[in-house]
Amino acid sequence: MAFTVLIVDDSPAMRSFVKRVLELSGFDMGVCHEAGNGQEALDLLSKEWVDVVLTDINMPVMNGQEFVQNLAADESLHAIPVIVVSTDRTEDRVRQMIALGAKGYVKKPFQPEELREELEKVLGVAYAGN
Amino acid sequence: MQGTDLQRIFLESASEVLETMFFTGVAEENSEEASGTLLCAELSFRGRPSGRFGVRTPLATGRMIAASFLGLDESEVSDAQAGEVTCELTNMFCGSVLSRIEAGARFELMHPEVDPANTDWRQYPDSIGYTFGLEEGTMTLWMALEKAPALVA
Ligand SMILES: [Mg+2]
Repeated sequence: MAFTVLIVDDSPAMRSFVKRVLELSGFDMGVCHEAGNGQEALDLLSKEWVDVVLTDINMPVMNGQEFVQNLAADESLHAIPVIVVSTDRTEDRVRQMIALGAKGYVKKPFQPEELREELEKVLGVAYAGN
Repeated sequence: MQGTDLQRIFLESASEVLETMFFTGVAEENSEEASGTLLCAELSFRGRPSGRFGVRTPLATGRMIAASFLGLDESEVSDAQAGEVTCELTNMFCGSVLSRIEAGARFELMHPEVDPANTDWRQYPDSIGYTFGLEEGTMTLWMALEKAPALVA
């Protein structure tokens, strides 16, 4: 089955890079939605179901940290696994995002395989539970 | 920190980022900034220390890098896209450099922006920059540190 993905990043260039990497990596991707910040992502998620979310941290309007907190607090959305994709490489930050509810973390710059492996790891975990 | 250490850090970061996500690399460790139209982007960062970080590259190099990042032909890349990709590059270089300078320290990177005025980083008091030769063109990475606020008695 193909996975529906939501890419949340304020940079359109980064969103299209991530999307292209996923297409080329052999990851089984179906529909790919995009949002420019956490608020846009929440608006989209109120209408569309997705299997996994990839989110940046530094974004205007609603950053990745608030977005992950909002998802975790929402009854109908908290089961959607979130992977953080960020230039912030500090272990502090990784721990913090995981504690807030993120299921994975990929540090930029990343090799295409790293992103795919993290997605498969996170989705494997999520789907084994169902 | 010694200049040679910083140059090594800038070089390692430039190589890592360019090779991993931009499908190019550093071909020459010491280079002169190319003349002609430049594409400049910079951001400010907060932490210990705080400061600004920027990238300068000839527009033609910026467009080439944007094309490979976006999977487009160079003729399809708009100036806006070249700018966006240069901003993303600035973001990644800065994250990489800071994590090498202060491993484990927490930094907040602000939103990178294209600087249409091509401000010369050398005007900042506590600044350092290095220019690397790429397969095509050059890329300058610079950083300017803010002085810690003076303690008022
Ligand atoms: Mg961002």
